[in-house]
Amino acid sequence: MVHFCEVLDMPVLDADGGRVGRVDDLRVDSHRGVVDLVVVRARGGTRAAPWTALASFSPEHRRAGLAPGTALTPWIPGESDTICLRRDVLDRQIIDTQGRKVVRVNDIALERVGGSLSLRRVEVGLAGAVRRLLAGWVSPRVLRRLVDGLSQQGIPWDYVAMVEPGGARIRLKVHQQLAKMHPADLADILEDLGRVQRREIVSALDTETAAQALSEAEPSVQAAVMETMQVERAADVLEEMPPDEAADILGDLSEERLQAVLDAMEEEDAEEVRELLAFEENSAGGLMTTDFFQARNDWTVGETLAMLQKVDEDLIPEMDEIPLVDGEGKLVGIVPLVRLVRAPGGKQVAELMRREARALTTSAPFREVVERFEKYHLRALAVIDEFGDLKGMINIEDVLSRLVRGE
Amino acid sequence: MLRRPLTSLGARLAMIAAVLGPGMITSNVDNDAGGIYTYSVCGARYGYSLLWILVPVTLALIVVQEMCARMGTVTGKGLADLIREEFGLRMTFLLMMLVLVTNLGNAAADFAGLASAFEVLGVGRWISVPLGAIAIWWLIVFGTYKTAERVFLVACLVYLAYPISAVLARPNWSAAVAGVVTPTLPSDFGGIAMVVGIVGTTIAPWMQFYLQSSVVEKESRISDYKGLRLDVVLGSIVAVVVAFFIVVACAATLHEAGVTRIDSGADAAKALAPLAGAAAKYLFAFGLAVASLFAACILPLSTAYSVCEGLGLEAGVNRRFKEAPEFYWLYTGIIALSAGMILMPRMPLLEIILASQVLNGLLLPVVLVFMALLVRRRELMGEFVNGPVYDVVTWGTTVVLIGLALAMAATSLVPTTS
Repeated sequence: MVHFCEVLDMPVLDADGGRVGRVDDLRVDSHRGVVDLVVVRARGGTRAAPWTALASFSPEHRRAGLAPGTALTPWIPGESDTICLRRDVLDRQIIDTQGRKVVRVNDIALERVGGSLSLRRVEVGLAGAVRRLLAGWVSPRVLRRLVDGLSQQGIPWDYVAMVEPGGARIRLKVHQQLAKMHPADLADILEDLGRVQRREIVSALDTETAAQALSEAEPSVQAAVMETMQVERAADVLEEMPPDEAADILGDLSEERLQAVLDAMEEEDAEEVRELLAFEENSAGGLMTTDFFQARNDWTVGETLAMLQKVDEDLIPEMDEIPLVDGEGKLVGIVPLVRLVRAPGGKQVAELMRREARALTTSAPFREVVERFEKYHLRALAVIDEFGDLKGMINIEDVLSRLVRGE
Repeated sequence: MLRRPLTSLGARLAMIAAVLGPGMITSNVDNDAGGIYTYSVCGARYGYSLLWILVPVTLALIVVQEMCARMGTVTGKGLADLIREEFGLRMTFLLMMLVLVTNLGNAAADFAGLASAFEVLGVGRWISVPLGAIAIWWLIVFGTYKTAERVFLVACLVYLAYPISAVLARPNWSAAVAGVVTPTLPSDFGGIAMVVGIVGTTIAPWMQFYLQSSVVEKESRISDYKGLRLDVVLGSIVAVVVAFFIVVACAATLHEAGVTRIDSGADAAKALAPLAGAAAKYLFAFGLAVASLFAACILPLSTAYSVCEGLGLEAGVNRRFKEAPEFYWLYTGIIALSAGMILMPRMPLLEIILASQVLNGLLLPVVLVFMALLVRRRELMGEFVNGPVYDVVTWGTTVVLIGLALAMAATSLVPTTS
């Protein structure tokens, strides 16, 4: 195992043993995770040599030797698909996608495999910090013994996502890493990052993942991200969300921004959100979603189940309780999904419904919503307007998350 | 669009607090126990003669604070974060240790301020300091700080007592103006230390870390940077105006009356007598207690944040103890140590306060060098790098402070004749 801090500033010698300069950085091919270039701080400026031009490389003796006949080339940074360990990784914040948090890199562990040097893990614990503080001042052997007793916290390179991805390929890797995480964990990470880094990360995500992560984040983070996003992309992300959540986020934006984003959204989605925005935030209307499955009261069980199978996957969490409406769109009752599944296919769906009038009107305050959920042990609640027309559904999750936020 | 419910009291309070930006809040915390006593002693000992320092200090304060606000806005990162990313772990570690020691001194100064405020009222430090420390710890750990901050900010209006009192004391205005326009520099150790202390208390290093973090936390953006800059400039001016009137009030009431020494809160309180008469000591004690508590809340917190940020440890009051143990231990340790220092037998409160501000003045050039180097990096700041005027002021301040520090060292070797 080779530690990056032991490699940094290590003398680089030419074939005759004369000193050329010191190791300034190692460039890594982001695709394979293998060192492909050594950046050398030489007298005449910063230069570079390909990894293959090294005849010897021994951090134990603190020197690297160039093969005979190697000429250093001037170093031109800025190739965007490569990672320079000192410039881009060391001391930077990264996302530990396994531990699901933002951490700062103290040191980097590399390993020699055959003739090449490949990235193994980044170190974030105390051991890495102490090694880094003392490297170069204490002999490597003493240092190793000293550090061995301390807590080693390493994150395998495969679980590292960079916070400030540069090139397209790195961006892609970041996206692949982050897409594996649960949206709620991703939301926590967004909350831990600064505004600029947050924008970087959100831009590396695809629209759907960005929408999922954002809907789990704190309202202040949601608004901050939306304000900095390009209008087109903000609109795309919001279209991916259930309309009630999109409305919640939009409600926190400035009037100007709100209009711009709404105008950029697809007409149908924008219309739903506009309707929701008209309701007071802390009322049943502000809490409900308008995107849900409803059945007609003259359908049979078989017909209803067939319709359910065609429903978009996004709506699945909202389908514990299915509202029944008559031909004019008025709420008739609620059918629990379980009853529907257990009933014979030819039965009229209306025979399965509960008749209790538990529905609330759009203007009912949040407190009343909570009381109703608690009193009747509900998982979903229908919301109607003053004429009894079904307007939306409130889910237990919506109520819970608002309660947790303390509103 | 109807979703604009600003009806509740909480929402209205939030609006008021939102008007007070990070710059204003920072400058209010700036006039803590260290500030009040340093300015008071300056006025009592040197009369109007050192008022001129406040002119270059105002300029430097504005420039330094604006740089922090700009860095926070452009990069979205705190000062300690940036230093770590650009200068590496070793540099950061060294700087953080210096910051830690200096800020321990500052926190001790604030507990000393609290102790001396209560001693004016006849309450011993054995009661006021432990109670204050526990209250502060509680406020942060149990998350009621945001409410407390608003109370503190309103209570800071008590600083208005100084300008009023200064005017009522009928100061010798022509002497005051002469003090502002004619620079005179004392040549003894105490005098130079006084100058360093005034610079250090007005442009305290911890303020820069605190201000930049608050700017980052507020999610301030480039597009509304003009408002933030105005807030920072106004905040700096307000801080120095308060300082000016404290010096003038003390010069008029104490120095002119032949009192050149301030040994306790009761002495310093006399500067408020033209306004409050016999009640001056209560007014002074209240103001000092509020200022001390406010700063004693922010200092340990800001220090723990900076150190953890710089060293890459988990930090933040929204994390549980288990998630960020170093942060909480550091926070608790700073409060316990600094409060404990004040409780040691025969601890001279005023000397601690003044010495801590001199320490600030000695650390400031170090922090300024880091800031000046950061803010000129184009890959970090883009088009928002420093202009020539800023560079001149920053490097000028740094050089002058280093010169003063050397002068202090030199004069400390010369036996004083006074």
